[in-house]
Amino acid sequence: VLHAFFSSTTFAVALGLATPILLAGMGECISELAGVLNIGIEGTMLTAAFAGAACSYVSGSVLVGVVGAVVSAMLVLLAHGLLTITVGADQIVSGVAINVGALGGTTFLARLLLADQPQVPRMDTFEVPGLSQIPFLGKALFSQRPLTYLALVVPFALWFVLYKSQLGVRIRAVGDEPGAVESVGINVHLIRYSVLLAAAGLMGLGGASLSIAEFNGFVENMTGGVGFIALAAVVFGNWRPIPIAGAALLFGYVESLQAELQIVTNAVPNEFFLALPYLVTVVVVVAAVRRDRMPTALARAYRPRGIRLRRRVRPTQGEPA
Amino acid sequence: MIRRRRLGFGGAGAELGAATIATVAAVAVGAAVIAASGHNVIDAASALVNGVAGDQTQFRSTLDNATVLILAALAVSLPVRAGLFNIGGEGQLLMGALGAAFVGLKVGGLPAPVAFLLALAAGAVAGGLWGLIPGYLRSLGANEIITTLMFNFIALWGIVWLISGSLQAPDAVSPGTGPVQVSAELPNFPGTFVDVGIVIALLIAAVVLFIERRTVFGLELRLIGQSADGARFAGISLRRKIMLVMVLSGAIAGLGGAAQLLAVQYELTDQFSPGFGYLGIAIAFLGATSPLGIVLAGLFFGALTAGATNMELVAQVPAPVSAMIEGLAFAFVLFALTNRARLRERV
Repeated sequence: VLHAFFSSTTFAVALGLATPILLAGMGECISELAGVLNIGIEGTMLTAAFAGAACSYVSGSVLVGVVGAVVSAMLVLLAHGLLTITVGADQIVSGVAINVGALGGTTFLARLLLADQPQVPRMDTFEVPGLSQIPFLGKALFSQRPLTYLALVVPFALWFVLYKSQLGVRIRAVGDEPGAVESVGINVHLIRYSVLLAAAGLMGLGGASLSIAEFNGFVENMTGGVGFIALAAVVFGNWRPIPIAGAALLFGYVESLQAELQIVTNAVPNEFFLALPYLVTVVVVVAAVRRDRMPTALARAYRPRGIRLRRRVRPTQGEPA
Repeated sequence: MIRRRRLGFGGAGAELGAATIATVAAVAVGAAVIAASGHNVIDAASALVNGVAGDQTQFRSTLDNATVLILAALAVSLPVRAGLFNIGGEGQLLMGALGAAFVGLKVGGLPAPVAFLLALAAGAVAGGLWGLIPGYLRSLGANEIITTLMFNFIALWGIVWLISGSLQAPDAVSPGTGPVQVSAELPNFPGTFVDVGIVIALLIAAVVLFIERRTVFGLELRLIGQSADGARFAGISLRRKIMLVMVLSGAIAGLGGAAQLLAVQYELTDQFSPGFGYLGIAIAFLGATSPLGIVLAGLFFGALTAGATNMELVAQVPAPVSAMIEGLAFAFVLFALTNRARLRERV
């Protein structure tokens, strides 16, 4: 039993399972920091997973598949942006619409286009020369697919951008005090749209990792809650990229451990492990009340003040010219 | 904290018009997709319309879908009055189904009205409890949007554990409780095959309307929603009201799950809900969070789902297309209503 906890297979599988959670969690992290909540991660990733598999299948090239996944995710979140940023609609309802529509749309299209569930070209594992020969770490860490390596680098890159660059200050300020940001002449909507597109890119990669990296094809509803686990990871990591990455890895590990343990023992029901990410997130939310770093303007539409300011300056009727 | 969202959009008539146009647009896109996929649109459309109320069984299925959607949406709209966003309808609904199944399996000796009323009550209680916990956590300051969402999955996995373990039917291969006692099933209207579930939904909609418009509690909820500090200053116990509204909300969703179980599925499996709770969130907002609007929206989407099932049978168009149209309709209507409100504000 103890072997299952620490075997290199458990760790290797955990990294693979954590990859989509990590990528999507990073996307959700930046988007929420800029004030845009996306409850539709699940639908965004599902769309990307489908588009990735379809493009990879049609073109025979994994790279085309990845591009297709990213572009499709961007289209979905562009619609989310149009609704929530420009029009100012409720972000949760828009997210629900994404989840419902994406599940229906991808299932429908998959039954038409990929009806016989073909195997599509997928990313091979990349054995890091030399490092993959290290006894334990080699198998656990250095025989992964390229997207996993990327996923492990992204948190550090995001940490740098968010906390060590001017752009990062702007992004975080847009999520906390959009009014203040506009008052110094920065376009709030432009930043929110840009961040949302970057987030879409990461979620698209997350979707691609499901259908053309960890698996070689599309399965109906193949995200199976990964998007919600990513959402939990963002809360668990208190809206900071590196802790979120830690949470994603932990959740991936729990999932992998659950599968390994099921083979050797049934002392703990595997449903417990499947519910664990959500349980610990609730505990963290309750424990961190008043210390959370949830962006102040999260899920609040921002209406640029420009127009109103000008109107107020205009002399009112009856006033002497 | 995410607070103080706009309630409804004002101006009911024009709104209904805008929502209708948006919905028609979504259906048109759906029709275009169906046509592009090589199916005959006319056949598909007639199968869809037939599936809504072509015969009693189909009409029953329309109303059954509407029942659970209306209740799931009411569970969202009531706490919104107090500025609370309950996105845990899915979990509360599952717990309601669990409660109803648990009681429905054991009421063999009881006469019908007592049996199904007990099962419904058990569903409401179980759903209410699942709403109470996030309500209590909210009173400690934990964001209810996050906790209610997490509780959906905790409920789901807890139920999967139960129905593949201690509650599993003896001879079952897959996770499931086995069907409830016949006396616990919801009865049909006399002389028809249509069950009375929709009456429960309409009754609860009326009760919610009454609470919102005619009770002190409803006024207090609105006060909390507009200004939590103001409400506290007026001597309202926020903790108590928040917990109470979350219990009520959970109970309403729980009733939805119970009605679905006792009238449609009869047994609790791991495939019980295709996301009724989440659909309820969208329907609550499309109905502009007013009970009447919710009933209309619920009936429409209930009809769409029922029609799509028939469309798959008759015209071989895969039924998930209805979910796609639903998603589009949600987005389009959301766009139409919010954009109207935005443009009007600007004038």
